[in-house]
Amino acid sequence: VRPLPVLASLAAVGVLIGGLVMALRPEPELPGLVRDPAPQVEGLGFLDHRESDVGTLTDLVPPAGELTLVYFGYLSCPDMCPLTMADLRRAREQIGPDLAARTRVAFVTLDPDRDDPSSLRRYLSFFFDEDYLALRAPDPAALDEAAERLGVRFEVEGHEPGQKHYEVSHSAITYIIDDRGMVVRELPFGAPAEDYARVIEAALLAPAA
Amino acid sequence: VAETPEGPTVTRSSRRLAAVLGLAALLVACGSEGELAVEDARSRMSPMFVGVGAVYLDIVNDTDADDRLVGASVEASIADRVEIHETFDAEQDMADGAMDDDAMDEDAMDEDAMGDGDDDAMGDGGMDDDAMDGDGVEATAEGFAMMGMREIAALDIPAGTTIALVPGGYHLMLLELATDLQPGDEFELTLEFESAGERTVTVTVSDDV
Repeated sequence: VRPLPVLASLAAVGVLIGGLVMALRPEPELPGLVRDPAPQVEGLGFLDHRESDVGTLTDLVPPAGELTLVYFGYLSCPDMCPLTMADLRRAREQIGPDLAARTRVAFVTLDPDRDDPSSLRRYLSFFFDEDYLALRAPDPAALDEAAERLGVRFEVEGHEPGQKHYEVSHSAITYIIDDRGMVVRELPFGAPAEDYARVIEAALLAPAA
Repeated sequence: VAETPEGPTVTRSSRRLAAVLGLAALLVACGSEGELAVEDARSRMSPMFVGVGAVYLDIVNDTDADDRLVGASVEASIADRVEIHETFDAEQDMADGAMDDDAMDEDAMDEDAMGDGDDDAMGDGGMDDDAMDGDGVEATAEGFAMMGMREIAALDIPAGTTIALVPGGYHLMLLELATDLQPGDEFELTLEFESAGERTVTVTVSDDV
């Protein structure tokens, strides 16, 4: 018996088994949190940095087949907010331009007294190219309603008009919203960019419900 | 006793490792064995106009003596001043009745900076059973809590420990930013320790801290 065929068939069996094991291994769980029922954002309206002059309201529902990645924060935040923006930026790079083009980041300010439309625009454009939404709620009641609908918790320290320094406490979650206006998954601050990328990719590639 | 915030450290360890490998040549570690050293100093990209930035790093106290970080500074071309900050669970803090003017109090050091509040952070129902099974998320559940930020007067660095300043935990806050911090930028940061004196390190700006 020549050794070569034996080795070759052994190798073939090995490859087969290996392939089988790979195929049978369950998909790793997606990170993040899914709420049941999924929060619905339809009907929530925000002032867009582009449309604020016109007074029309933008909602968070993306075009068909796309996703909105929504985060509530404030611009004077040194830690969690810009970190999340940088993570989303990296995640969109990781999934590649074709998939990234089907997502847009929406930043909703919790601090409208300091974060005017032009500051919001400058902030978002620091992290992202054209494709972002820099949003303000039209009034405090609308912000409260959006926060309640999505489960955002926040508290703005009392301040005088024009005051520069005051505290904003808030939960720091990115909400993945599909074209039905449903929050399909949410990721807390601190998730690595790879987690955002996996979740976004899975949501984009999921068969239509 | 200053606790090391564990969640983000765990979550980002792989990224941090990559950063260490990639930037090893750029990092300045000012110590050898038996000394107090500052390692892996990094800052996240931040636009100048929002005025704030954050620096993260590891402080390795390889000596037999407790020490404290009491101050930090950068050149005026980077920022006006640097404060030692912690991100904390604002809801937990309110529950403890410690919300008010103790931000500069020594006691702030003893409170749960990040690591322990996770369970109650996830207390609001409506999530599916396996929601928290995803890797990385459990360790970063603080994103679901309402987080605040406050200045602390000093940071304890006990003998024989490494204190990691990480997103969502302790950080050095740059105030009155004098320049955009773009990925790849570098600047010098001087830390002042009660016993060990000054340490100057090079901070690398990244979108992946």
